[in-house]
Amino acid sequence: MQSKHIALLALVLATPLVAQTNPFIVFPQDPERQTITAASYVRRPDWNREAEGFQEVSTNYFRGVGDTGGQAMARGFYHWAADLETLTAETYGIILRTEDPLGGPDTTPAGVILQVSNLSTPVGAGGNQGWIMTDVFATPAALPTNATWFQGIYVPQNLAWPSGSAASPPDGHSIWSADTLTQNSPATVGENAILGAPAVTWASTPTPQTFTTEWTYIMGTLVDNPTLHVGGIDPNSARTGVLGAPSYGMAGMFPDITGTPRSDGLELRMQDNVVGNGIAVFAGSLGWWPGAGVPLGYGGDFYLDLANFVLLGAAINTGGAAVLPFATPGTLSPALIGIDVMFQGVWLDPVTLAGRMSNAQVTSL
Amino acid sequence: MPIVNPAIPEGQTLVLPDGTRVRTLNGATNPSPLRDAWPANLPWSPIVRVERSDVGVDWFVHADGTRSTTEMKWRSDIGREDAVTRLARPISTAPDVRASK
Repeated sequence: MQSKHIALLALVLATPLVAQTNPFIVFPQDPERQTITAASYVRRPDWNREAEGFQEVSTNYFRGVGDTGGQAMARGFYHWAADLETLTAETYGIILRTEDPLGGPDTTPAGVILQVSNLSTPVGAGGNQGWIMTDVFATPAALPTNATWFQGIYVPQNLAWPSGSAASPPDGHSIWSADTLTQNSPATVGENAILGAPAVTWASTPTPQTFTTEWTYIMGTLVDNPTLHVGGIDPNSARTGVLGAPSYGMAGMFPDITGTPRSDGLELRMQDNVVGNGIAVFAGSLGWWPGAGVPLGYGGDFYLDLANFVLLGAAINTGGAAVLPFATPGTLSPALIGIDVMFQGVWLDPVTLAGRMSNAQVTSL
Repeated sequence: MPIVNPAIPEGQTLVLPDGTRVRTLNGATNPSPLRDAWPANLPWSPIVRVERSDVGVDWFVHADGTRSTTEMKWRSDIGREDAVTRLARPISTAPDVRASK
């Protein structure tokens, strides 16, 4: 009896060696669990000039990011930085903004959701190196629950990026990125959304001028709830760096099912760092539930149309990620073009049967 | 070497993933535990020294090359300074810089 008590006490006191949050990232691969082969380049939002670079979290495409039930919180920020010369630290900031009337990030002071300035990278051994930066706030920040917002990084001007200046060898901070096909860059890897898909990242300059950019970044807000992404599957594409591998960024938002020649498949992927033995249950619908998300007794809110959602299946996670095939390549008819399908899931603890809702995502066929 | 001392005032400690506590760096108070930033799939690596960057920020250096720190930063949303627990994991290679826009 005494040994059982001691064992139970040790279990209670044991500090779990796990992160407590998940980064919400729109990128072809999961940087926490996959070897990154889909990064085209390292980029800055406006070349070597001062700018803010954003990932759009649009209600047209995502709902419930950070939703813990009636509220959504930002717990910190995550990004993959590249520093051309690690003998010197690079200064950056975290910036989250609301949407302006034209659909871009609101660059006015009123548009700031959160701003944390004068963060810096550490120094390294010298030369070109990357850093995976994770910045966790002691006090979470409130996020919009039913409105578009923008998550991003501020970088100051650095004339030494990328080729050096009269005063400095090459130096400066950039972010791992994946070019879209629309960018038409020489990169052989990157995003694989249908050509002409809407851009989902933005740049904002001090002028202020805002414009879309044709790439995605490895960066995102740390949130409490599991993250859900749809993977687009083009069996003839190596844009992820692996032939035929699912691409979880824009390819899952805007797949190509035209049949001329692509006919992408889809799969659903949920990730969670918090409940290691979780089971992912996925659902889909053809519309949103009107208004705010609905509590269903799990952590977070349900955003799919309660009148017509369908349970799609469950998947056991491996290493914190669970995958459910949805449509094999070649099975989605071009007649479906123009239809939006919404997906959301719940990450269940199989012991307690408690669960936490993921964000919801749209696939625009 | 960082101070591992149960007598460190509560607000000036950083709880490490192995359950031990060290004094915070850069004057930070009440930071989130380091486990909140430490990846779920990364084994714990002990702190081996402290180093200061060229911009004056002190960082813990871990045996595997990871850096961690705590700082106080102004938070525009709450109108006061708040602690940030920070982790920097080195990546040995990076994609090419795009030679043009």
